[in-house]
Amino acid sequence: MDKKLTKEEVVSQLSKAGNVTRREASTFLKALSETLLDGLNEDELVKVNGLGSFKITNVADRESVDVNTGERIVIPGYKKLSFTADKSLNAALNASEEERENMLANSAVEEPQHPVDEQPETVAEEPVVVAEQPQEPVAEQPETLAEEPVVEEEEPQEPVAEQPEAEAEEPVVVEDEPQEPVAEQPEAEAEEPVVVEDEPQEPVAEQPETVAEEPVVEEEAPQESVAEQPVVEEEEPKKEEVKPQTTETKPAEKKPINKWVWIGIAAAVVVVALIFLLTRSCQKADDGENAEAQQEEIVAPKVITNRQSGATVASDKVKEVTPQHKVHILQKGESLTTISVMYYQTKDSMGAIWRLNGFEDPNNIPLGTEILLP
Amino acid sequence: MTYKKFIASLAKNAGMTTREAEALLKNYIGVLTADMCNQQSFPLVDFGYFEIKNKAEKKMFNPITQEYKTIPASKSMAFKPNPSLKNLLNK
Repeated sequence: MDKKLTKEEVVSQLSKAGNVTRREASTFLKALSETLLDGLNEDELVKVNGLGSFKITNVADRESVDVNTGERIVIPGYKKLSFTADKSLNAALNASEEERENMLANSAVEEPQHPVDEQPETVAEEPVVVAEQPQEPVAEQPETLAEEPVVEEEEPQEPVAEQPEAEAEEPVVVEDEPQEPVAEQPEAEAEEPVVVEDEPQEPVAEQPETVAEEPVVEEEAPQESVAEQPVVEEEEPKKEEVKPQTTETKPAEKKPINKWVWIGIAAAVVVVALIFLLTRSCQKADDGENAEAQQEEIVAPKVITNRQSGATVASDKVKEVTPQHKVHILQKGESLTTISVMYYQTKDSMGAIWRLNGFEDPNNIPLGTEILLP
Repeated sequence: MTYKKFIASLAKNAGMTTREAEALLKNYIGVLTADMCNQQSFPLVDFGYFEIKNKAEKKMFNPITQEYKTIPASKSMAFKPNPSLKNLLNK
């Protein structure tokens, strides 16, 4: 260090640089010290952009030995100001002279424009950049422009498209959606939400399938229903209603859904197809031979069994909450062991709980997890 | 204390608008940088001095690649508090 600057020198330099009187400059410096102290007393940390951050660190008490007397003494702790310089400052220090002149020139360009407004600042900084690198900002602007309209186009599509879906779904599906995983429901109800969720994910593959199924069902359904069965009549019109909806949803919905849900849904769709085939074949076989009453009896149980199998296939990965299992919601501080003791008065059931729930790591289960009790 | 709050209370203490205060602060930092680059230690009001610390060139050994690497000499900013600052902080 060649020289220590005095306060007066700083004041005169500042008044020159900022085009203010010396008095204003010195009041500013006083205010600076007051503000720094206030800030440090308030929350022990003051960040100043471009300068660095000031922080108070506590130095703890420490024991030492008095050299003269040999007694142990405690040196009381105190507060210390630590300063971390802004990166730009250190960069300026280490920069070569040319770079430094550039930096100073840039900051000099910025300075006179600050008091005017904040917006002109940024505007003023840009031309500096433009002078140095004419290509980049020009290239960037069209990009951002190009991106924005895309986003705008997407956004309006989604809500517009989703609203009609929701409206279309509501009359038929509303009740059904929450019931999905439970699995014991009439066919049409259980499958409706499933089909709806399906198509956004596999728009190419599954759409043709369902589309292919639709006309078949629609053609046959009226024949059968007219000919014979009241039960089937009720179900099939529902399906017809559902499928047009799904065609609407295809282009619109693009929500990411869990793999497992999706797989389950795919299985359910396959099962739907099987059920239709079975019901058709049964009905055709019965047409010539049996009375209507018998047909109803036969067809109904078959459909039911199919539904159940389909449901179980669909919910393979989703653990069913059967009424037999109590559910315990994991609280803080609980472990499988404590839960076991709480419900069964023994630690031995911990393994059974673990197996039933299939946790990977029984020592690390997130709070609020619903734990099934065997 | 964040930068926004700092500027606000700085303006209040100095009796000027936020923009004026911010502009002056930037000038202050500009002056500080220029002086520091000229090897002069710069006073931070009553608190102490900003000084330049010269860090000498040093050799480092990377045990994984078994290579020696020279880290070039550099300068960094350091703050040297006035003795009175301890009293200010430990009231």
